[in-house]
Amino acid sequence: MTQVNFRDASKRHLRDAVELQTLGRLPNAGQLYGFSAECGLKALLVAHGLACTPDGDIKRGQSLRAHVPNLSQAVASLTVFPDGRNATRYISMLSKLADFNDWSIDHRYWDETVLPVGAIPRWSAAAKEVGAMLTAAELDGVM
Amino acid sequence: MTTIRFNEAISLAAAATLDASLPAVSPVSLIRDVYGRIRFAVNVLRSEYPADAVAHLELARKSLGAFAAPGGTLFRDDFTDSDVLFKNPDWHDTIIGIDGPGEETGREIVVRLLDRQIVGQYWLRTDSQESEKRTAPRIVFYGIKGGVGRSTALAMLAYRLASNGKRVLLLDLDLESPGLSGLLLPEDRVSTFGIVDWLVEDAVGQGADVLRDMLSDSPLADNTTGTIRIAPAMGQGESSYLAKLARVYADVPHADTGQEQFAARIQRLVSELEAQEKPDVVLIDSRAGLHDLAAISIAGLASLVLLFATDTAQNWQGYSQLFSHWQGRPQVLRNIRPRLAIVQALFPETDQVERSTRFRQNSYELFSSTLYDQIPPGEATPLDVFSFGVDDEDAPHFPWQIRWSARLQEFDPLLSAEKGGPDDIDIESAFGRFFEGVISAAVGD
Repeated sequence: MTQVNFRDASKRHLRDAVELQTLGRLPNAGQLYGFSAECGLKALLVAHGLACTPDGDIKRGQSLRAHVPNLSQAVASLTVFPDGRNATRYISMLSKLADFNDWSIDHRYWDETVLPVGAIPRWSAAAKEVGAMLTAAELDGVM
Repeated sequence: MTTIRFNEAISLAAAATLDASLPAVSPVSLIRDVYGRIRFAVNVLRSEYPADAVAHLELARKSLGAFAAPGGTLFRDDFTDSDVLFKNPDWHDTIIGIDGPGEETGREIVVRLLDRQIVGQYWLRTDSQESEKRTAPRIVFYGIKGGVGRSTALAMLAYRLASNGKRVLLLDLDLESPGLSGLLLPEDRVSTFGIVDWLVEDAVGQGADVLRDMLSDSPLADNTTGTIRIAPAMGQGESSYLAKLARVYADVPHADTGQEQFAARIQRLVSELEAQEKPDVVLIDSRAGLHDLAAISIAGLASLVLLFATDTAQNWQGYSQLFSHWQGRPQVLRNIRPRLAIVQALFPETDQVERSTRFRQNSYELFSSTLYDQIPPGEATPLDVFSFGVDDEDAPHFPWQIRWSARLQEFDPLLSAEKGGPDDIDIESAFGRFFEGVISAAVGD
């Protein structure tokens, strides 16, 4: 087991995001939906052969070592995916990544009154879609 | 330690689910990944499942050798949304033979199995048939082996239906071996676009305008009261067919509906063409062999599947593998078998009585050992039983024959009788019984 485990981290963030949203603690729920999607996409990239450090993290200096929304834009225009039968199996499950366009890692510094909490249902749906993709890849035995 | 092979792994895993120490209220299901590796799943919270049962399953998983999937048994709380797993539409009650140590040989049990595959899922996806309201019958022309006169028979049936005043829609879904349009259309009458064009254009949101320019009228219907409209695999003057074909099987993301897989796209294409063309009958040329396109045509589209066959061992073996795949999933079997009918292709001109009897016997053996219900001796016959006698003319194994004749050997349906093409007598003599069978079963009049 490497120190970095994108797949399990994605599941953990998603679970906690749902919990926080249920409790009405929307600002951090929103942050965690973004982290969950980010980790899920990175897990997919690593499963498809993206180069990693010995502790399982994505190597520095790669454009994909980023947070959403830049990460989802990078993934949406992916060229690192293999072609062949599997090329679209997982990426085609991700139709809502653009919904993270108004998500920002900097939201963690923002005042609660100006955070776009109205976007949370969209972020939630997009993160859950990434979660479903991870489940599919896990059941397939490729992750 | 002996090497565990693919078949043995599923047998061992199934047997492990029967262990008396497992709580009967929470049945254990099997998941087999794309490499054939197996793990267990139980639809309860991990904390609700006894620790010794977890340990039993873990031991059983490890006994599968190279076919043990990584990771332990899956429970509800392993997922934020456990429905993604436990309500997956590809779960099937599956019959698995277990003959491991301590088991009587040949014993079969039923377990829930989720088979994750790279291709071939479509052979088992028959549910859409149930809910869909069909406007026109869809007749699929299929052969486990190619080269048995499938496309010719399709062309002739289209002609016969048009002669009866029907609006006939033909689809060439034999994408890897396109040719139906060549048989039925002079080159200058082939439509601008073909089915592969729709698939690549629709994937980028431009399918609608392709739909209007992907059909043309076959001159074969010119002297009839009906029409034959053809959607070819490739459009006129195509120069990039392989580059398009190489992309058609892609799953496509959709903002509203999520992922749309190839089978769903083909089903949507056929429905949209039917809405546009309003045909009385749809004839579909399927790909031969055990290919996904055939699976989609047969399991996902057809109201009647014509199984073309000749009396050869490789032919019966091929069908036997396919039928056994359905036989192992009882619900799928019930959905699929009423739609099947066998066609004896290239029925020879000599020794007809003997050859006819032998074909029927072989066909009966195939159907009765795989698709028909077995009623144990001494038990009452259920009312809805699916079982037939060898000489029952209404049985799916009882073949509709197409006679081989030298006149039809190098046959060009577009050539008039005066110029050496087939006349109505030739056609009736070769295809008459086939026409009658298909029309009474699927079309009516």
